[in-house]
Amino acid sequence: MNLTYVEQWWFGSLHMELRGAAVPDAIVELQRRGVPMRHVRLGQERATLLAGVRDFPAVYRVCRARRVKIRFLERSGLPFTVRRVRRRKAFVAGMGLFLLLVYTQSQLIWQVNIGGVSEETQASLRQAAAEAGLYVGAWKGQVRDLDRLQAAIQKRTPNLTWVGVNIQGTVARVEAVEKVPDVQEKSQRPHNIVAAKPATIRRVFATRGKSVVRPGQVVQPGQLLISGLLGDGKAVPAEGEVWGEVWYTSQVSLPLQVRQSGLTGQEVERQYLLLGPWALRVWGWQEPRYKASIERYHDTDWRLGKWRLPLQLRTATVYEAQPYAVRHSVAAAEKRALTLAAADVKRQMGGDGVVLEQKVLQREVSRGKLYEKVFTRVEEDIAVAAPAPPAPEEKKAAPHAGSA
Amino acid sequence: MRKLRKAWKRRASEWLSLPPATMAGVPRVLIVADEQVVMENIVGLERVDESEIVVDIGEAHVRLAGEGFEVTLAVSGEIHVRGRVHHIEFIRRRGNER
Repeated sequence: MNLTYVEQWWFGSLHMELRGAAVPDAIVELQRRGVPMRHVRLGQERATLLAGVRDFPAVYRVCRARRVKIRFLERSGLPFTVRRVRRRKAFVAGMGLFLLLVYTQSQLIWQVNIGGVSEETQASLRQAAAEAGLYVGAWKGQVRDLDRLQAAIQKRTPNLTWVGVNIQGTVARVEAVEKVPDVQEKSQRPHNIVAAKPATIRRVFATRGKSVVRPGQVVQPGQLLISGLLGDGKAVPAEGEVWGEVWYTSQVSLPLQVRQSGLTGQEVERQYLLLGPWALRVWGWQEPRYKASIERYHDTDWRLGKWRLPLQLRTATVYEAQPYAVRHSVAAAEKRALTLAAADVKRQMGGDGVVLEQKVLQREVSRGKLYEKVFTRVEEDIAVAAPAPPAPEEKKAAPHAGSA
Repeated sequence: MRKLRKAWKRRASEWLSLPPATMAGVPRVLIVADEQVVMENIVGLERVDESEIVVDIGEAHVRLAGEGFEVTLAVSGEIHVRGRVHHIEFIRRRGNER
């Protein structure tokens, strides 16, 4: 192994030009003396060569003895580089500062992504994570112990079943699973049952408590239906179903004529080469004279590993369309209007109920549209638990009743 | 004494069927195509010129003739020459004593 190059770099080397009649002899002499030389380029009474700084005294002596002149072309190697660098302190400091900056910036959390939960929970989870020490700008060393971090986040968010934190580079990913809210237990505190809607009572099934209404009676919202206060002064949570007749009116409007467009079956295919923002047509030059058309694209998904290639092929199909109108008869429209009204009532009822009767109160056909006002009679459960206790003075009796 | 050691080395390398070039202290001349010549374990340069280089390899001289010679490396005992070589001559010291 030859270490001349390393040695000359470490101690520095000189690129010299020798001139004089005895140049070849000088080089021979230097070689015999064991002076390492590189790139000895020979010419007419001259030569250029590279020799180490430490060997310069020997070079000088040999050349002096043979009347060979020395001219320096270049100085290279570590000592000279160091000397140059010393003169550019600011530059070196900048380089060091840059490395330091890159390193410190890479030790920060730059992004906290949250997934697996709804948007409202995301905000609270972000807050909890920040309190636990995971936020944008946090040191990575601060959040090294992921288990403890996860536990800390979960402690602050009781509505989450599980919290997982994963840090990749400067991006932290928080995954969480929300607790599924359980079914609300029926209140065991004494309460009444009241009417939710204005209705005519049809049937009352009081499974607990005392019924205070009779079939045929008209009730208003909030009116007491089943009392939780028993005759002997005891208070119980009232339970039961109260079926009453409720009236609804719905406004329905629907067009008699519907414009639709169908395909005729004629189609033309074209191929495009997608390159970045450009689409270059490469095949399919037909220009059909369709009055109306629908275009559908199908793009390829060419990939190289996980990278999507910038070059893709798009197949565009142009279908001929033909608009046409569908006319409904007034009778058919009326039938549909009743179905729509029933659906509207069903939505307002919530829960289960039965449509007893539908009546058209008003009907009008104008500008190709049918307007109807439909009256609907339904039977539905109007009982809701009143949040308030049966009576203010019964509060003292409540614990007593609970034990009974 | 030195002669004896050399003889022993030679015998050992023959017995182990090693190529003689692996032995230490034996001059070697390696020619790469017609553009590079590497000489190891030489005694020294004898003459250097743009078109001629003579190297003393101990028992003989090697003379390279060509054009555009450049000595890419010259340390004690080793020389690398680059250039177009036209002619290589091996000159026995016995016949051509200087």
